[in-house]
Formats: sequence, structure tokens, C-alpha cells
Amino acid sequence: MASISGTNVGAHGHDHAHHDEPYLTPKSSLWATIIDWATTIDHKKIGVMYLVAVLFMFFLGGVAALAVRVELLEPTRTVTTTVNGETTVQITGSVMHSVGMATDMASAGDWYNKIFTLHGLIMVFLVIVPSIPASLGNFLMPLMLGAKDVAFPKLNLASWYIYLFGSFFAIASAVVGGVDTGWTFYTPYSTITDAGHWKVVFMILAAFILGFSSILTGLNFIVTVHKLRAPGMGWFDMPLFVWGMYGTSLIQVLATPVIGITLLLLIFERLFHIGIFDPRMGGDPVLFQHFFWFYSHPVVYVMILPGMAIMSELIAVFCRKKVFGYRAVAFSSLAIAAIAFVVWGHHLFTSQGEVAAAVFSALTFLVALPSAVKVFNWVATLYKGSIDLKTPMWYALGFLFLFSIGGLTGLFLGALSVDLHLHDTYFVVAHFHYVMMGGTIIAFIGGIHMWWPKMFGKMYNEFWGQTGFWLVFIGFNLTFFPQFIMGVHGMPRRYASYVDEFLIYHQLSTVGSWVLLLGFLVHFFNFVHSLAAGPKAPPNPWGALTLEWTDAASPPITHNFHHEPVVTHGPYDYDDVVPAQTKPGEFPLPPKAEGRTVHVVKAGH
Amino acid sequence: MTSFPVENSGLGAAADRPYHETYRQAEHFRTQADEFDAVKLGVWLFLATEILLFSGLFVFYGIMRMLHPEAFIHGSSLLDWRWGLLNTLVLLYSSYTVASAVRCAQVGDQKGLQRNILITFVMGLLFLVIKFVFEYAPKYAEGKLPGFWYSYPNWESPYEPLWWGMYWGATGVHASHVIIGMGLFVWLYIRARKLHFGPKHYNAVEGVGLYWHIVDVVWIFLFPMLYLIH
Amino acid sequence: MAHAASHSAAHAAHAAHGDHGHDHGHIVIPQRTLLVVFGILLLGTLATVAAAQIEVWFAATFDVVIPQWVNVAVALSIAAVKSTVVALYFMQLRYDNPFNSLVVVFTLFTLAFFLGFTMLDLGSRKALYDYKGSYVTAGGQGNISVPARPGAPAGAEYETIPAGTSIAQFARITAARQAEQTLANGGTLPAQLAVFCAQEIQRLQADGKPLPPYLVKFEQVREQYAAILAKKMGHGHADSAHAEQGASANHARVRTGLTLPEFSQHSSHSKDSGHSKDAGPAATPAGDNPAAK
Repeated sequence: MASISGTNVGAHGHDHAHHDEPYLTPKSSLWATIIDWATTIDHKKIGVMYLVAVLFMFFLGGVAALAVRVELLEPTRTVTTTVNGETTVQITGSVMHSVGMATDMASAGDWYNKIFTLHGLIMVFLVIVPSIPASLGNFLMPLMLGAKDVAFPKLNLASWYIYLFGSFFAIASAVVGGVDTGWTFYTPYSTITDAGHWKVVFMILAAFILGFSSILTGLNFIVTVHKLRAPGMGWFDMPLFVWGMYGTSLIQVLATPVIGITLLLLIFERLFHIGIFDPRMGGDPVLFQHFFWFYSHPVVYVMILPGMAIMSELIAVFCRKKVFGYRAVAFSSLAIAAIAFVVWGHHLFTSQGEVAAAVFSALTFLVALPSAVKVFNWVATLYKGSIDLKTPMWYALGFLFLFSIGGLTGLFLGALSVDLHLHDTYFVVAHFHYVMMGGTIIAFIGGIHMWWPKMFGKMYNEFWGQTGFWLVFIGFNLTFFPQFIMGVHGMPRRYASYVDEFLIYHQLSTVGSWVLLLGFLVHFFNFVHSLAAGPKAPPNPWGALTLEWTDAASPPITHNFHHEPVVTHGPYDYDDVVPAQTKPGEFPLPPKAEGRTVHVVKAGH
Repeated sequence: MTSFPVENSGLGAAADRPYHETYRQAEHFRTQADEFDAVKLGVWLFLATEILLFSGLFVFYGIMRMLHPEAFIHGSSLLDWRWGLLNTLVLLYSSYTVASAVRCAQVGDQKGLQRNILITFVMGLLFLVIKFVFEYAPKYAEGKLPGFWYSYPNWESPYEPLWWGMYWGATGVHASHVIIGMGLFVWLYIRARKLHFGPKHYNAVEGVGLYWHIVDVVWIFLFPMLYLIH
Repeated sequence: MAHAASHSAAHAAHAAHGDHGHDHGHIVIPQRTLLVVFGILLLGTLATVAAAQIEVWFAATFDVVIPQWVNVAVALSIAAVKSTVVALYFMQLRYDNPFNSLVVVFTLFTLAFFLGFTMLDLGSRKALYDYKGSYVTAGGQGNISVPARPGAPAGAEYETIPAGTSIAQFARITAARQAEQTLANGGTLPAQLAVFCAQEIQRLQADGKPLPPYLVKFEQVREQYAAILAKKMGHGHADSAHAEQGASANHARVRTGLTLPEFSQHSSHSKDSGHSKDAGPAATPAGDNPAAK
């Protein structure tokens, strides 16, 4: 705080003593600790709470996904056999049926619909949208900018409680029976199914409320970036993670209100039947698709941009090299955010008019440009870097591989004529899982590994980390690659049954989902072990140059920094600056940096 | 970090001086100016979300008017533009008083600040009274309602239930914003009575004022779009 | 930081906040400016009302067709000017950090994209294939359960709109039912039902169809409603709360530039499904669906 001018310092200066302790330090009693966490406005604690919640929701959504895959292990069939003139009707191939959840083919299908809907809703609204911004973003943004907190800490806490409130409705909806509308709430499904029941309203309400949580996070980040950068940190001295978050936040602020009004109208439609989207009342159901995708396409970039943001950090740190084309990567985040708003129509190629479809198809290809700029720059950063193949770096490489597949298959779907064939097939399912899971979730796990020592002050086990990566990577490809093939051959999405031709692909996919599960379990136990018995982490185990590594302890103190950081070098100046090591050989140094003078503030003193 | 005298920490020992003179920014801001700018930027971003919240209704309006102009023209002729005009004047005046309230806070005119907040609140109430008593109630009685509830027989286009969906949706969402704004003015008034606002510290007055202006701006568009179609 | 000094009583102009030139955002706008802005807003409001009246008068006097977009463009331009004034002065954008203005501009861009592309689609559905232009059936196609309308069987909470009947159509069926019951009991019709009966008679006569008994009965007591009909029907169609406005709106509607084939003042009820091949039954004119007896 020395650099802050004297007379005008914050209101809480007198009680700074305990702010020098690590933020994780428990209070005197368990109860006091719980109260402390529940009422905290510390961005780090909120980030950690989000992380726990998001991972828990990821577990729930994952269970639903596994259930979907298990149901698809065999096609559900009604087998009618006549023995001695006696006809028996049997349902085969349905797990829902064999465990007694479903009584007949139709109800097995209903359960299937509900479970894939639950999977989609949880994964989109409760996991991927908040995942990186709300957990890692909350934790890291102020640290990376050299600030004490986000701009509006109370709003940040409010956003967390709004998230909990929204999750409550989502879970309540699932508990009272679940919805079968698909996560997109397309009308007229969402206005007709379960008429008179509150399940669908609960679920729509959940998505509506979660939107506010998302808006508050985005709003907070934008103001934080504008107003709380450390002295000496210009816009182009910010880590690329911050740039990615900034683009994400712009989309969150500009797109989320539209889903707000859309879902509000949908709730009105469902409860009061005002005839806006419901064709029975003269409304236009395709209008709903426009409204919905005007938010939900940009939100796809809310999901992937943070993944890209993490990627830039992972690649730079573990190659010990300046990111190739810093400004291009930074601006491509903004370009993606801008283009995000004009391509939503490619989700409704089959339901809209030809003219609009052609325009949207053309615009869709624009997104490939900034995305490719990023991928090429990351690859160029790898070139002649001193690559350190730690778990996070493996995840970065995995991202490059999977996201490239996901992105390029997006071009197939963006092509109008091809999409008419592939629309609503497993090709689409595979495409967005390669982007959402192969992109965002892979980067998220890589990011958790990288910042784990910073967040909790403990190292994880490298061997099990890498084992987990390979299981996840192989399991992921085994699960989703066959779905591309199925999709091209015409397997439609959202069906509980299928023809025998698809049997082998579905079985590969289901087996893959088990490998994937194993990988996640390995990571989970690795993290638990790390918390319980992991070695203490040094302030900067990877030799990174961003402020959270160079100027803050592991874990950081409550006020983040003992002294307000003054930025004297760029976030990726590995050629000129050598980060301080706590012991020699802690991390490999970039070859070019050998023998140069070192300037870096040692953390944790 | 060094310790600072208690009088610098907000209310503290300087209880004889009003809150707005002893106010200090939250500790993570470097200066009070930074906090002021941050709050203002935050409010503007929030206003952006408000505009986009209403955008759904505007888009619905645009589409439906494009597709079914006859329904909108006849539907509009069933509204009385004179109530709309009166409500426009009420809201414009309240916008003026809220702008004056910000000015009063800036120059430290506590009486004027309280008076202007109060007038704005009353204007909001007047708006709602006109809306509910002279517009909503008769329309409800005559069955000029959206979709499911529509029972007004003297239509000229069968698409007219859509027009009423539009009318009730847009004015309803707008009216709910007016109600929220009135709640905020009650809060402001209580704080203003406690002398919380002055030349150095009027973030809340400014923020609520900006919100109220955007509610007014939305009505500036809704008025001709709903009442003056020919 | 000499805050106290810089914020002395003479706080009229720039209240520079020390540090690094953050002097935007602390402008105190003179009361006179606020008053002038308020005056401009009042003028703008009057202008937008006057413009609408002038449009009607112009169309009626010179017997010209004024296209729809004129109405839209004039109204929205004036509203845009008013909002800009509010944003610049009341909301102080003019004196503020330019980034705040940028936020507004980006927001409006977003809104424009949203509106523009959605309209592009819904406005061009039948560009290649006509059948794709069949917008959703006018007012719904029935087969839905709605809250019981006046005159429904006693105790009924809901009633079902017959298949193929739009909501608007059903409103007329129930209005006829209610009018019939009221007249049979010798009661007095509410104003909008009286207007409905008179309009229904016009419609049936225009199509050369016989009047159902309740309308015959209405003809007998029509005198009783003469005042209401004269006030509310104007030249025969509009049911405005105000006769003059209703009448003038009628004029304007005759003459404004609706180009869609289905819109025509005197036969709208029989052509309202013009652009919709499969809208058929929903748009059947009232006269073809005699009130349920």
C-alpha cells in the first residue's frame, strides 16, 4: 500500500493486521469460519466457492451424461414374442426400464428426454457459463491486475448468491420430476409439455436467475479492468487471460439481458398464455428461436473465450516464451466478442427463410478468422519455446488438438447446404462437445492444475495429473469421435433408440464415457490428496511472470499483496526477466535468459 | 501499510460532520475519483443491460408491426393517446426533477435534494395511477387482453391479440421498472434525510437518477410506438 | 489530495478531483440548462403528437396515401432526438468519460443487429418459396382451452375454442352469445357489445346474409343505443374511446400506405388470411360462423 497516496486510503486501514494472513486461514471456530466464508466479499473466497459449486454441478451433469450414454448402450426396443399362442411384450435395451424407472417404451423415452435435458441445462447454465469466469476469473483477475479486489465486491457476493438461488430452482425442477424440453426450451415444447405443472417454469426461472449472476460477474470484470489496473499496467501490459475475460464480460453484459427478456416472455407465455411464441395463440415459435439464439450463440463464446484466455497463459508459461502476436491474440478476443452477435442464425438454418440463412451462413465463417488467429499464434508460440510438459501443458496441447477438430467441424455446420444434412444429428452433438468440453472444460482443468498451487498453496502429484490427462484425452475422443461418424450417417440427436447400424458407434461412445469418468476420478483424488497431504507450494512453482505469481504468496494473503505491485515488465517478458526461484532448478529457465539480470519481486515476504 | 487515524474511517469519530463529508471510498480504490468513475461505469453497463432487456420487446414490436401492420394500426386506435401524452409529460417532469436532485446533491442543497426526490417519487406514483386506473382497468374489463384472455369482439384484424400481447408486455415490464425506481427513491429519500449525500459523495443519487432516465427514455419510445400509429 | 479545498462552496464548474485529471463526471449542470432541456423535451413531445395529427390531416385533406414508414420514421426520429437530449444533458454523457458513451453506442449496435437480422428473416420468408411465407395462423387455430367468457354455461371455468377458430374469432362468437342472452333477458348491452352488434349487422348485410334472431332483436332496440353508437362507431368501424380520434383514425387508415393485399378497410374480415394458404378456417369471417346457439 506504500504507493497509495497518504491521506486518502480506505476505510478499513485500522484492522489490516489479519489481512496479512493467507486468505484460507480459518477463524477461531468452525462456525465463525463458515460465517466468514458466507459473508465474505473477498474475490478469492468467492472464486473458490464458485469453483466448488461448479465442480459439484459438473459432477451432477456428468452423472446425467453417463446415464444418457448407458441408456444408449443398446437401442431401446419393444420385442413382441408369441410362444404357444401367448404374446409377451418385452422392452429390451433400456436401462431406465430394467431398473424400474420406466414401465414401457414411451416412458423410457420420457426418462431419456428428461435426463438429456437435465444434462444440457446443468452443463450449460450451471457449469460452463460460470465455470472459468466465476471461479478462476474471480480468483485471478484482481491478482493479475495488481488490485485488492474486484470493483464491486458486494455485487460479486450477490452474484454468488444469485447463482445459488438459480441452482436451487434448477435442482427443484429436477426433483419434482424434471423437464423434457431440451436445454433450448424451444416453443411450443416448452409452452405445452407438462401443462399446469411448475417444473418447466422452475427450470426457465433458474436459467433466468442465473443470467443475472452472469451479468453481475461480467459487469464487475469490465469495471475492474478499467479502473483497478496496477500503476504502470497499460492495456497491452495485461495478461491475455484478462483480455479474454474482458471479451467474455462484454458478451455477458450485452447478450444476457436478451435471454432475460426471452425467458421472462416464455414464463409469461407459459403461465398467462399471452400468445407471443405459442402458435396456438397466433404467436411465432421461430421468433423464440431468434430470441433464444441471440443470447445463446454469443454465450457459446462466453464459454470458449475463457478457455482461450487460459490457453494463452498455459502456453506462454510452459513454453517460457513471449506469446507470439500478443496484440493479435488480444484483439481477436474482442473480434470474437463482436462477431458473436451476428451469427446466431446458423442455429436455425432449417427453420428460417433462405435469405436470412444465406446471410447468416456467410457471417458465420467470419468467426473462424479470430479463432484461427489465436490457434496459429499459440502454435507459433510453441515454436522454439522451452516446452515443459507438465500436466497443464498437456492440457494446453490437448486443447489445441480438440479445439481444432471442434472448430473446423463448425465450418461444416456453418455451410448452409451441408448443415441441412447434418442439422440435429450426432455430428452437431460431437461438434459442440469438442468445442465446449474439448475446449472449455479441457482448458478449465488445465487452468485448475496450473493455478492449484496458487489457490490452495499445495502442489498436486504430477504423475497422477498426467495419468488423468491421458485418460480424459483418450476417453473424450473415444466418446465423441464416433459421434461424428454416426452423425454423418444420419443418426439424429435426442433419440433413445436407434437402428442396428449405429450400435458399434454408440457402444464405443459409451465405453469412452467410462474412460472419461475414470480420468476425472483420478484428477479428483489427486486434488483431494494434494489438499490433505500435498507438499507446500512455492510462490511461483512454474516460473511465470504475471503478478499473481511474482508478487503474491501461495496462497495469497487476504489483501492479495503486501505492497501494491508496480508493473515494470510485461506479462510474458521471458527474454528479459527471470523469475525468482526459491531453490535452484525449481523450474527450467528459458535459454535466452541465461546469464541475464534478474528482476522480480519475491513473493510471500 | 500504516495505520490511519480513526476519523478517516467513515463515520467514526467525526460524527459531528455529516456522512457525505467524511465519506471515504472503499479500500480497494486508489482515489475517490476512481470509485466515482467505477460506479458510474458500472451503472452505465447496467443501463446497457436494461436497454437490451427492453430490446426483446422492441424486436417483437418491430417484427409484428412489419408482419401485421393492420393489427397494430387498429389496436393503437383503441388506445387513448391523451393518457399516453399525460403520462409522457409526467415522466419527463420526473426526469427533470431527478436531474435537479443530482444537481442539488452536487451543490450541497439538502432541502432541494429531498424535495426533488420526493417530487420524483410522486410523479412515479402518478404515472402508475394513470396507467392502472385509466388504462389497464378499462382494457381489462373490455377483454383487450393478450392471447388466451382476449375477448374483445370489435377487432379488424385477427392478429390483434398479438398487439395486446405487445401492449401489456411492454407497458407491464416498463411499469415494473417504474415500481422498482420508486422503491429506490424511498431509499434515497431516507438516506438524504440522514444527510448522506453532498458535493463529495452522491454516487447513489447519480446512479438511481441514471436508472430513472433510462426508464424515461424507454417511455419516450413507447409513447409514439404504442399510441401514435396511423 | 486537497479534496476539502477543491470542493469548497464554489463548486459550480469543474470539480477537479485531484489525482490524474479525472475531472469528467463532476460537472454541475446549471439549473437553467436543465430547464431548457426540459423545455426541449416538452416541445419534442408536442411535436410527435402534432406530427401524427398532421399526417392524418394531410392524408385526409389532400387525399394521398402516406406510406407506413413515414409514421414510423417521424415518430422514431423525434423520439431519438429526445432520448439523445436526455442522455447528453440529464444523464450527463456530454461531460462524462467517453467510454460511457461508447457503452451506449455498442448497446445500440447490438440492438440494431438483433432487430435487423430478425426482421431480415421474418420479412423474407417467402422470398423463394411462397408457402414459407405462411406466417403463423391468424390469431391461433383453436383447439385450446381458455378461461370461460361471459355467457358460458354456469359453473364452467374453462371453455374450448373449436378447432379451426382463432382467438379473435372466438371473441366474436362469445360476444354474440352474450348479446343474445342479454337481449333475451331484456337487459341492456354494454357499450362494446352494442357496437359489436351494429358492426355484425353491417358485416352480414355487406355479405348479403340474413340476420340471426338476436340481431333482429337488436335492430328493434337499436334506438336505445343511438348515443353510444354515434359516439363510438364514428363512420362505422372504429371503437375508439373518443369519437373524433376514432373518426380521424379511420380516415388515416383508409389512406395510409398499407400494401399488404389482405388489408382493406371494408373487407378486412373476409380477407385476413390473404398471405397464408393454410390459415383457412381460422380466418373465416364472423358471418360464416353463426354464434353457437
